[in-house]
Amino acid sequence: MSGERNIPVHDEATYYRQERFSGEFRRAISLGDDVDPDKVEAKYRDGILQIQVRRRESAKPRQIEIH
Amino acid sequence: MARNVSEVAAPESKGGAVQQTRGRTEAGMRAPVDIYEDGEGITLEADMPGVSRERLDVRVDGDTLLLEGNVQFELPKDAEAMYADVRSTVYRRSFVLSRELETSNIQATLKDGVLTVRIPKRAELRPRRIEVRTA
Repeated sequence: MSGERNIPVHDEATYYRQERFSGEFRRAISLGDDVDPDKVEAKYRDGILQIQVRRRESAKPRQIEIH
Repeated sequence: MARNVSEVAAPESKGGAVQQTRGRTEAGMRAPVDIYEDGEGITLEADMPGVSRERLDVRVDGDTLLLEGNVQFELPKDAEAMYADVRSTVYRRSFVLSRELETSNIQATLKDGVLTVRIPKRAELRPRRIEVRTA
């Protein structure tokens, strides 16, 4: 995932603190082989990105019934 | 001239018009902030991702400005964090405002987890243009 935030700098103003990040960002997280690339959902709310990745149906643990 | 006026309004040797309260031991994350001053007043911008308007508290107590926000995580049921950069769920930070600021007229807005607080200077300290009349 990658994004960009450009904070405008006010040249005419005096800065007391400048702690916030400005610019491009990128982050990669490796996922297991058992994820289903067709079942990825992303939500963005209040500045938080939430990505939900699901396992493939065939990779889910399942209970074998004993007769 | 304008530069002299701004120096008088917020002498940097005294830490400027806004000073951070030190020595606090309360838990909580330090939201990164930008603070800048122009002729009209002070603007403070704070990154508080995950905080909604209902869970944000911006308060002035005497000369202290307190920012407090609760992060709302939406974890699926029975889910456990395998990896977590953010563990605390409270942002808390406070600042001391100078008497040059009009604390009764503070405006705060929140958008996409970024809080913007605008504190105007007292009217008599704002730069103003004097109209010159012909004699």
